[in-house]
Amino acid sequence: MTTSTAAADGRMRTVVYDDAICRAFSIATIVWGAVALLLGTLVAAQLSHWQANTDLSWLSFGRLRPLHTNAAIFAFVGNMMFAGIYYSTQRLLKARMASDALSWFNFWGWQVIIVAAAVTLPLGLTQGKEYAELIWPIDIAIAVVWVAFAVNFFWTIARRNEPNLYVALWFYIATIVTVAVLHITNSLALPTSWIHSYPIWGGVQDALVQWWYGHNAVAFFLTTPILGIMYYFLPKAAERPVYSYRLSVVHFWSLVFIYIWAGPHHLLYTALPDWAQTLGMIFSIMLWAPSWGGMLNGLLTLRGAWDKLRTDPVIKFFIVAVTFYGMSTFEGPLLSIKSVSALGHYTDWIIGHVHGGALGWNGFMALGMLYWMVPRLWNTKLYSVKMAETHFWIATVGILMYIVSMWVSGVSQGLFWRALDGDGYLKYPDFIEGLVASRAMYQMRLIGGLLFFLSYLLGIYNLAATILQGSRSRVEVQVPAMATEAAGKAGRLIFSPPVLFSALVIALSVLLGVTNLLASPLVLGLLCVAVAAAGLSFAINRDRWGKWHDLIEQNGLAFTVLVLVAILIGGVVQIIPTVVITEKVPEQVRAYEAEVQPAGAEDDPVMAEQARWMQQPYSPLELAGRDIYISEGCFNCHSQMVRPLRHEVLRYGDYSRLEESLLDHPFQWGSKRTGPDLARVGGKYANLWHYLHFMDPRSTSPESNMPAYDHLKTGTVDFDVVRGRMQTLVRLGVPYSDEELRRAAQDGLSQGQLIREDLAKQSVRLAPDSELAALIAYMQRLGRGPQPIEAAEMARGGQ
Amino acid sequence: MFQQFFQDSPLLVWPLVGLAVFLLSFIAVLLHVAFGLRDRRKRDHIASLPLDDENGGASR
Repeated sequence: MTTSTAAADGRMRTVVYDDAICRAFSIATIVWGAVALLLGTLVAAQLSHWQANTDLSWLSFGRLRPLHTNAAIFAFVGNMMFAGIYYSTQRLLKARMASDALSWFNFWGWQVIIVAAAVTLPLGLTQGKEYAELIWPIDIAIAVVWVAFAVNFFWTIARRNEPNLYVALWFYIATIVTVAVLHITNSLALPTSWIHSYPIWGGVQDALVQWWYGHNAVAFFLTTPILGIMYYFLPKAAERPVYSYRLSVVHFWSLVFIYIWAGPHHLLYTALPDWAQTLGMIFSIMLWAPSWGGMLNGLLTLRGAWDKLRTDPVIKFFIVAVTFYGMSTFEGPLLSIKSVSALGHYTDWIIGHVHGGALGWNGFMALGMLYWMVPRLWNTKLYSVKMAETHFWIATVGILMYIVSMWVSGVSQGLFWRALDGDGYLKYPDFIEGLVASRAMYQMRLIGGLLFFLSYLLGIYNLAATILQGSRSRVEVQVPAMATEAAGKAGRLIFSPPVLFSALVIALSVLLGVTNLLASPLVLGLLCVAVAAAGLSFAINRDRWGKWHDLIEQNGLAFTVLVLVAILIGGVVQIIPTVVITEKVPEQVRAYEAEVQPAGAEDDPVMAEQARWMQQPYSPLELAGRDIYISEGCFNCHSQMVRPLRHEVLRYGDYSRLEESLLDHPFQWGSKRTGPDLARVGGKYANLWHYLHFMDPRSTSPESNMPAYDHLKTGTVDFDVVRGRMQTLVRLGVPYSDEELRRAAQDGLSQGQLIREDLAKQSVRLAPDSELAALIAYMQRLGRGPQPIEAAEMARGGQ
Repeated sequence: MFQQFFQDSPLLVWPLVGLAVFLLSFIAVLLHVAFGLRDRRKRDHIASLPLDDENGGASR
């Protein structure tokens, strides 16, 4: 049974909304929210008290932190988003969801994906890319479930009984289209087994694609659907329409167009080409305007009804959520300014910023929505308004404690790391000093997070009691039947003056770019004529110009295509140039080394510099160590990117070059430094230091909060698996020779033997094929070229 | 300055083209908001859609 619409008479239809799916997603939201918050509290405890890592490898911070973020984003907010979309879409379109089967496939598929994530991430099965950690079979499952959701959604739009698409639906369309594009592009990978793969992107390409995805996961998974929910549920709760429909139109298109460009602000001062960094920064700053337009539109919806803020907990949650939206969207562009990023990036400030969005914006919107929707879905009243009020106040105090502690900690860290003494040297050369100084803030963060979690448990009790006292609702409405979308509208839209002139101007702009910006006065002249003609046409026929958006608004397909174009432009113009240009670098360097240098030709300083820094492939043991590094989630606390800032160069060594990580699949530049940067850690410490550090981090760094990795001592590297992975990397452009592939096991064991012998001199026993030996080999390689893999080479002066 | 910027790759012109497309679209949206949404009754109707969704009152 797909729909209950039936003709009651010639023009009216009876529609019974599918609220069962909304109830299911609501319950899933409540349950997974508790899981996400519990995990958040646990990882916060691990950061303030290292003992909370326990001796169990699958409970260590590096494995639980991705589980926490995935649970918060995809389980908690994801289910909340589906609940809100299914509820509001049916009512705004005055139609039941087109297919009950697809709705339930969406529900159960999503829950299976979450459970699969909960199993695989603690086992160390990860792709090593933030917010995209899940292994490739789960990625495919996500794509399938998302497509089912999309089909159901657009099918419902096609069968709707309301001609106008309300602005909330626009935000849902943008979400569905963009998340699909982001997820598929960022997840492109070559599998090496059922549980492991390497992304097709490497180094700087991977960094750009990942943060294009990562930033826009925030934009189109955590923001646009929630804005749609805001535009629907806030007017419902306030019992008055949105403050300005006009503002919502500008809000939508500006946000959709601008957001997609802002990803590179996560990579400021890294080895990403400067033009892309600047582009990301500029568009991030531009985001201020639409974001605050949306926030003000939300807040002013309460005009004339501010008294509700005193009495209605739902309004309280919504208004504080929108306020947090404003705060986060002020802070985000601020942090995207290069000089501010130089201070704030890699510090706890970013963690505070993220939680302002996740707990304040998403969390409070979810809670406001649940407190409003659950009583209606179970046909009853909220069990206790007082309890909801208590929940609100405790959660608010919890968030504020969390964010303030992270601000203090983050800004302190930034200042600590960059502090120089009177002679221009680092004032605090020992990284651990900064961590020690942050400890009190880590404890305050733990208390704040704990308060939010405990208040959430109160909310669960309140909502569960509400559900138990009620009975399932059945909403049946009579609506005027609407004919299927007129095909003629598409033609009218395509041939309307704004579309024709826009296409002409865009085509001429492209032509101008492709030819030569300065040497094409003809094209420039044509462009001016086209703009003038457009202005004339507008002056003569204002009505037709004004109607184009109406045509789009009433045509779901045209609207979706336009959104797709809007979000593709930002990604395409950043990713394609970077990918195309960097794709050629290794090839050019190899050609230079093979032909130009041996011939003694005149040196090309640019090529010589590229050749000097060009990354060489990892040895089999180092590759195995790298995979362990990724599996253990080391990237959650350690970056591998020295920025060209004086204090970083003083602390870590020469700044990182683009060429150094081009063969890294995935890149490991990182985004947070709870521990120091590791880009140049190779050779900095002896093998024994690394051994002791991994076995018990406190033995070498007394105040460290890093978990112990003693389980790696007993784990063994399978070099047949490593060879298979090397073969996959060859297909991705990593230049392993056939000989290197053939000798993978032999070379791996030889290099392990060197580490074993070195440690044996200091009475430490470690198997040459142990996972710990592999991780040490990887550490010793970072920031350096190929290391000796045989004793004879070492004797010849390899090191 | 432009020549120096583009000497690395002609592909770098695409961000500028993208920016031009954004500006055009933004102007188009502003025109729509200024001239296409002058009908207050229609605006109010669309803005009120969330409020009348349980009683089924749809309009053309």
